[in-house]
Amino acid sequence: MSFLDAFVRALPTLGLFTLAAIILVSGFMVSQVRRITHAAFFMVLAFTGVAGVFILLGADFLGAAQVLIYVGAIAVMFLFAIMVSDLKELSDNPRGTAAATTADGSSGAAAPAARPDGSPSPRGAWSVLSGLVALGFAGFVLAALAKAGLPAVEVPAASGLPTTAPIGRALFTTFLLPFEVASIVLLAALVGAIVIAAREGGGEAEAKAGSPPTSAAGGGKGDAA
Amino acid sequence: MINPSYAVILGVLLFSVGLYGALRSTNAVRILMCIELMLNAVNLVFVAFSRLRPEAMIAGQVFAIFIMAVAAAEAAVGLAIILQIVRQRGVVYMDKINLLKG
Amino acid sequence: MGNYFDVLLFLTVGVGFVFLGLWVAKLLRPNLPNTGKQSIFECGERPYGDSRLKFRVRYYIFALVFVIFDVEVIFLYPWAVVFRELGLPGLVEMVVFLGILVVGLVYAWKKKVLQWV
Repeated sequence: MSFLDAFVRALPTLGLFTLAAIILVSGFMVSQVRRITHAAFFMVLAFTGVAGVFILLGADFLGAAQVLIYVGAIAVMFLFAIMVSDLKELSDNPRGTAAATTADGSSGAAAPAARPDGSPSPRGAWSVLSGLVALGFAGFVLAALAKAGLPAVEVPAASGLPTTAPIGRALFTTFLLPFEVASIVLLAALVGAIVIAAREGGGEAEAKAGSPPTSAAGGGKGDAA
Repeated sequence: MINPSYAVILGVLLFSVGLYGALRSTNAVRILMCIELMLNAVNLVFVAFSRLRPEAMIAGQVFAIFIMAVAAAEAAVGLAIILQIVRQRGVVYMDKINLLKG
Repeated sequence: MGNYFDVLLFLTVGVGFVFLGLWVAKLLRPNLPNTGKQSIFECGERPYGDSRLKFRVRYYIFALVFVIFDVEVIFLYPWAVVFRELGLPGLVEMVVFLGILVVGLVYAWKKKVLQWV
């Protein structure tokens, strides 16, 4: 019975570790999978895991907001954006990338990493370098955290404490100005994105957007030069 | 019972995973996805610290809501720009968009 | 914690049901593939062309407007919970917030990007 008791007490921490594994693996897969649509769905999985961590930490309103905004809205917007552009061009096609790199030599100076033909990762050395940068960042911050000493406090997991009402109170007293500014940010984003995306220009722009990608995918030389 | 410090460490690791992806990818949409992951990691750290310090319990969560709003705005404008680049230039790879290079 | 235990149970049973069903079906079903069965199902029609076709950019704008107003709902929800406490000032603050966002909606309307074509 005491074993069961200990198991139940360790359940939130076990859940946190499980969610952490899901989040980190799917976050890593976002940059690893070849098709951009699959990357979007791995991103959704990572977002859902983060919502689970929010709920475990007792921030239940934020967990719901995370699902509503990230999973329900931002991920859908990414999928729409992938859908309305040419998906063949959007997926990381190693053959197409390698052909395009050999077509124009000028980009070789900007990206010093050589891309071997047919390699699944298009930029071997560059990818190693970015891995080193990310590892260095993680090591630096974790070392700083270890030096500062994270407190070993335990808080009740998924405590049913109300968070929505305190958030509402804080939003309309202390954070009133940021709240109103947030609406201006959203307005600017809405108008700006419409101005950028809605520049359609009838059939001429459609033809312009339609034909060059196919020719670039086929030959590549004339377009790149 | 749960220790929020684990969530801080998870946030740091998720941020570096996103940083790795954002640096490594050439596909503009994928870079934007990795930036969203990094913003999410920041939210995670905010919430974890809000639990570690009881007097900041609500402030950290309100900050996280604002970050979500900014992330939505950023993704909306970023994807609009990428769509327009794809339509005008026919490529989505950041290393191919070198119009400003002489 | 107690409330979320139900959620965990529901999640486990839901995910388990799907995979158990698929696994049992894989055990029981006969495996006789032919070209007709393996073709992509398209409502009984014979599939033609590429499934990755390009949609109009106009549809992206619908998603965009949806996202902006989804974020707005997130701000509305805590407001509704404490609405009685806040009283009239709270109402004025929210009207200002919504008024600013409605300007964007009016702009989208005037630009005629909300028309379904």
